[in-house]
Amino acid sequence: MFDFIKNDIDNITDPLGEEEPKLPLFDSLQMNISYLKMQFGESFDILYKQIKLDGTDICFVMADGMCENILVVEQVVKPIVNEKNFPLKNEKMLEYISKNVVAGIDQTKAETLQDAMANVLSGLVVLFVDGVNYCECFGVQGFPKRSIEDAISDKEEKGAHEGFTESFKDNVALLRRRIRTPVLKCEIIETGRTSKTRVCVCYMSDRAKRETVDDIKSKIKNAKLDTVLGSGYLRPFLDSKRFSFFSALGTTERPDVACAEMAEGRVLIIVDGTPFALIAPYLFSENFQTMDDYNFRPFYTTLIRVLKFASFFIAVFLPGLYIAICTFHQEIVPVSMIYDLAIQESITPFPVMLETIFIHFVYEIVREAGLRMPKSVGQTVGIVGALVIGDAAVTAGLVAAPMLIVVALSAITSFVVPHLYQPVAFLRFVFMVIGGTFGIYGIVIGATVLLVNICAANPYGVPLLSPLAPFSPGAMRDNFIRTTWLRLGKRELKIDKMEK
Amino acid sequence: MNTKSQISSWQLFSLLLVSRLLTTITFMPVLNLNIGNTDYIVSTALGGVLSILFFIPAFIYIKKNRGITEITDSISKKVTKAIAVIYALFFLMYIFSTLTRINLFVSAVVFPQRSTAVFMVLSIAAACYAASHGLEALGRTGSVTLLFFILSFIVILFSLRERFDFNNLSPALYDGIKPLGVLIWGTIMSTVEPAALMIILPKVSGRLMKSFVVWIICFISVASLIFLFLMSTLGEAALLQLFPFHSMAVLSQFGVFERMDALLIGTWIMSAFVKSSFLILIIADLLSESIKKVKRSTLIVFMFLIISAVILIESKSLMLFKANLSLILNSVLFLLFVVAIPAALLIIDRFRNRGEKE
Repeated sequence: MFDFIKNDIDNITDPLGEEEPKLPLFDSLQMNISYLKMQFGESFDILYKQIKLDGTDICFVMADGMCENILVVEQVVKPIVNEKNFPLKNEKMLEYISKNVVAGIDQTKAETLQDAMANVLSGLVVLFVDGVNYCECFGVQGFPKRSIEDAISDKEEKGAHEGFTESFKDNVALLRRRIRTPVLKCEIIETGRTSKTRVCVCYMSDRAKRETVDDIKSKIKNAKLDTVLGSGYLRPFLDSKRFSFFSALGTTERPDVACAEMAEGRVLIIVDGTPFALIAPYLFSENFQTMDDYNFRPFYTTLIRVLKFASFFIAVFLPGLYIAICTFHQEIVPVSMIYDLAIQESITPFPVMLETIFIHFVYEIVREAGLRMPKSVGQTVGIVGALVIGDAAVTAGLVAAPMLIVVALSAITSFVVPHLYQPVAFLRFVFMVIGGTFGIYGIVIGATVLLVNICAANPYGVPLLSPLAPFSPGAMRDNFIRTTWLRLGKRELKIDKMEK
Repeated sequence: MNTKSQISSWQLFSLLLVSRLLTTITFMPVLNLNIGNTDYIVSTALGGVLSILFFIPAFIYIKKNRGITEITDSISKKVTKAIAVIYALFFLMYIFSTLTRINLFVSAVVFPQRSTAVFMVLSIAAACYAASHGLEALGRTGSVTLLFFILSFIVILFSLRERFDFNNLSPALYDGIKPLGVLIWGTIMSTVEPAALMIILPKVSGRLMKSFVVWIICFISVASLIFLFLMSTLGEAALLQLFPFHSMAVLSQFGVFERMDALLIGTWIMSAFVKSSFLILIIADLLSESIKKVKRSTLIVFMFLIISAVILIESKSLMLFKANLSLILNSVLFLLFVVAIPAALLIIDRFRNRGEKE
C-alpha cells in the first residue's frame, strides 16, 4: 500500500550504464604514458617525470597537491636515482626497486591502466618502467586536510573535544586510539562510479552481527551512484525501505560516541570526505542520548532525558494543540486564561491556524537564512527576524502575543534534540493543519499514525522503537532514565538483545 | 494463513485488551433502560467470569497451539477458503459495529455542529494505512496504546476521587434478576476477541495461555473498576447519558485543567483506531487466504472503500444503525463464530484424526 512513497532504491538506474572493462598495462612505457595523458587531458596537476635509469626509460606519475613532496623526493625519487647497482633491466629492475631501494614505503602493484590512474588520483606516486606490463605505486599521500578540532554539531560539556574530520584515515585512527583491540575491524569499500569514494565500514567482530555487517557492505557496494560526496548520498540505500519519518540511521561527529555505539554491536560507516559517521542500526531513543549523559551523575542525566522527551513532544505538538484548543476545545483551559487568549486573538485579523502557520513559516525562513550566512551576518538576520516578527508584528496587531510564545517555545525545544530537527520541523506543520481542521481528535489520530510509522520501522531486524516496543526491561536502565555505572557496567547492553 | 510475521503473546494481549476495553467504555445505557446502576458493575464482573465458559474452544485451540485455518487446512483447502471468507465477513460486521458507535460519538459529542463524514473517512484511511504496516507494527502500537489508555484512566479516575461516593449506587437487583441477566448476556456477547485470537494464533509466539488468562483477569477487573467509578460518581444520572464515560470525564478536573474529556476522547479514538486497524489486518489476511492472486495491500484499499461507504450510509439509516447494535444479532454472531464453528471444527478434526489412526 502507498507504494508511491516508498523509497524504491532497487529501481534507481545506473547513470553511466555498464562499467567499462579494465585495460591491462602495455609493455611500452610510451603507450602507457600516452594513454594516461589522453585520459587526464590538459590537467595541470598531473605531473609526469620521465628519466633514463641505467639505460632504461622510467616515468614517475603523480597528482600535484595529493602527495607529500618531501616524501616523494626523499623516499622515492632520490633513492631510485642515486642507486647504482641495478642487477638487471626492465621487470627485474622494477622488482629490485620495490624490494631493495624504496622498501620502507607502502607499496602496491597495479596491472591495469584504470588501477594505475586510480592510484595516481589517490595521491600515490606511480612508477612505470619501459618493457614492464605492471607498475609500482608508492604511498606518499599528503593532501591538504583539516586538523582534528572540536565537534561542531555534537558539542559536549564534559566529553572529549575531538571530532571527526574529512579524512577517513584520521577518523579510523581516532577510533583505534579508543578501542585497542584486534576485534575492531575497519574494512574499505569503494563506491561511486566516477568519484571512487572510499567508505570505511567499522565494527567490533565479536559484537556486531555478521549478517548486519554483510548486509551493509552489500548495500554500499550495490549503491548505483555516480558520485558519493557525503554520507547523505548513501543514507537512502542503508535506511529502511519503507517510508518512515524517523531515520533508522544515526549520525555522529564524535569518535567517543562512535566507539560507544560499536561497543553495543552497531556498525559504523565512515565516508571519505565527510566528518560524520553513519551508525546502523539506530534506535529512536538514541536521539535523546548524548555522551555527556554518561559523564554527569545519573539523577541529573535522568532529569535531562525527561526534559528532552518533553521538548520533543512540545516541539511537535504544541503549535497544533494551541490551534486546536483556541479553535475547538476552549473548555479544557481555565476560564481566566481562555479570556486572556480570546482577547489577544480577537485583535488579530487572521484565524489562529493561518496565523500560526504563517509565523512558523517565517521562522523557518529566518532560521534557514541565518544558517547559510557568515556567522556575524547570521546573528544579524536572527536579531532582525526576532525584532521584526516578534515585537513589530505584535505591536501592529498582526500576531497575538501568546501565539508568539508558542512559536518561540516550539522553536527552542526543537533544538534540544538536534538529531530530530528535520522530522520535527515537518511534523509540526502537519499537526498544525490537523489541529486546525479536526482539533485534538485529529491530532490523536495523526499521532497514532506516527506511532504506527515508528513501530513499523525494523531496520536490520531491530525495531526502531525498542526497547519500549517491543519492551525490553533490561535495556530500560539506560533509556528514559540512566542508572549508575555500577549497574550499567554489570551487563553488556547489546543491540541484538532488542531483536524480537 | 501466512505465518511469517510473529508478535509476542503480550503484544496480542495488549491489542485484545485495548479492543475489549474500548467496547466497555463505548457502552450506551440508553439501550437498556430500567436497570439499576449497581447491576452494571455486577454484570461486568459476573459476565466476565461466565464468559470463560464460552471461551472453552479458544482454550483448546491455545492448548493445541493451532489456529482455525490450520485445523481447516488439515480438513480441506476448500474448507479453509470458505471459513476464511465467513470469518472475514464476521470481522467486517464487527468493524461496522465499532465504527458505528464511534461515528455516533463523534457526531454527538466531538463535532455536534459539523458533518463527521470527512473525519470518519480520514480515520478509516488512517486505520487502513496502519493495517498495511503488518501485525508486528500493530502489536507494538497496541502495547503503547494500552499504556496510554491505562495512564489516561488513572489520571481521570484520580481527578474524580473527590466526587466518588458509594451513596450514589442503587441497591443491587433492585429491578429483579431478569435485567441483570440481560446485562450479563450482553457483556458476554460483546466479548468476541477470542475469535480474533483463534484466527491469529499461528502468528503469535510466547506463552499464549498465560497471556489469555491474564487478559481475562485484566478485562474483568479493569472494566469492573471503571464501572464502579462511573456509577459511584454519576449515580443514576449515568444511565441517562448517551456516553456516560464521556460525561464522567467532563466532571474531572486536574490542576489548572478544567475538563479531562479531551484526554478521554483522545484515548478513545486512539483505541478505536488501533482496534479497527487490527480487524482490517485480520480480514485482509483471511481474504488473501481465499483470493491468493490479490495482494494484501489491494484488499486493504478495497476494504477502505467498503467500510467508508457502509459507515456513511449507516449514519443516515436508523434501521441499519439499530441492526448493528442489536443484542440478538450480536448474540447469534458471537455464538456462531466464538463457540459453534470453532467447536465444530475441533470435533471434525478429532474424528478425522481418529479415523486416520484406525
